[in-house]
Amino acid sequence: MLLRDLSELVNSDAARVSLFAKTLKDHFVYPVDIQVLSPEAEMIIHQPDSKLPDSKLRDDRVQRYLMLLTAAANGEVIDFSSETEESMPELET
Amino acid sequence: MINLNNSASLEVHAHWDPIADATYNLHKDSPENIALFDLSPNEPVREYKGDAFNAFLPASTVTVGDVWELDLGSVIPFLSQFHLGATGKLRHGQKGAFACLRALSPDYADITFRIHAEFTLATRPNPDWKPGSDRRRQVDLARFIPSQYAGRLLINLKTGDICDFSLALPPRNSNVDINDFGYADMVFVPRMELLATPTKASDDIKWRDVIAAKEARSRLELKFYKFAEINWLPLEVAVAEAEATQRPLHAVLTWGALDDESC
Repeated sequence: MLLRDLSELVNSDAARVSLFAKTLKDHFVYPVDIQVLSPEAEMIIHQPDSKLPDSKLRDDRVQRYLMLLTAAANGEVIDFSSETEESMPELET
Repeated sequence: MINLNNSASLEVHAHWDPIADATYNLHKDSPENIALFDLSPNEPVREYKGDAFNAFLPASTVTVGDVWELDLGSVIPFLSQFHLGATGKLRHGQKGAFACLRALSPDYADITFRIHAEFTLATRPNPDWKPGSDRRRQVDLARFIPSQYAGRLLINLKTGDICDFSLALPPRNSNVDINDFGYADMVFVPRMELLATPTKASDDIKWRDVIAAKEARSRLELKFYKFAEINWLPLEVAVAEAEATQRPLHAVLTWGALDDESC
């Protein structure tokens, strides 16, 4: 979702929507930001683009985003936040 | 196969509104930028021969819902009606152009298409470039990068005439990325459109086979973005699903839109 749309959602009449929107907005780091929240709106994973393992290969970063998004579609969670360049696993291409 | 009436011609009008909104007002921050981004159509009206629209047709037989790739070399000349710096060679992002047969009747074919292109407004030598480094950085560019162009072509299959043609920048704030030799901004252009007049089709076409316009746009989007396969939910719906299923909510927040080239 777009950052600019969150401001309106923070003011939503639906308390749960407002809570989630406020949590997402408060943690946002420019310009692309992945956040995984529990059903109670507690932060589980915060993965700003700027802190994604900085592979020199663009395709590698794309693959990592696809892994994150595919996992999200399956209701799973992947956490890259503790990885370093050396510890990154091989990716299927 | 669709055969166009090559002897017919079609007058196409170009409309290009000024920038109406911006995040940083880059387009107004110097006299040079005011001049650079004071944009209007290169050719407000251009007459096209019927065969020019072959650029949007499939090379072989297709059925409703099928998607095919367009030859950018044949499509970009349409965009030069806006500006001679039109190019399909994007510096970043997903390049290409695709079309989808949205509807078909014994008399008409309705084609939806999507083009990714940008405009080089000006160039200058990059003062920081050194021999041996990336040649793409040898020249600095001022660029105007629309989110996409969404278009429609309606063809009378009996006569081969073009009944309707439009190609437009979707009017969403923000819908254009601008770049002035290194600095960037996201801006809103309310209208940037090529439009043919007059239309000559019946308002009440009985389609034999048809998909919704939204479905056609979705099929085109999938050609550009792998992540379009994901069933994205609005926050309100996702929050309700997270509660009902007790599964985590995975959100991707962005400063600009992911599913076009505006950011």
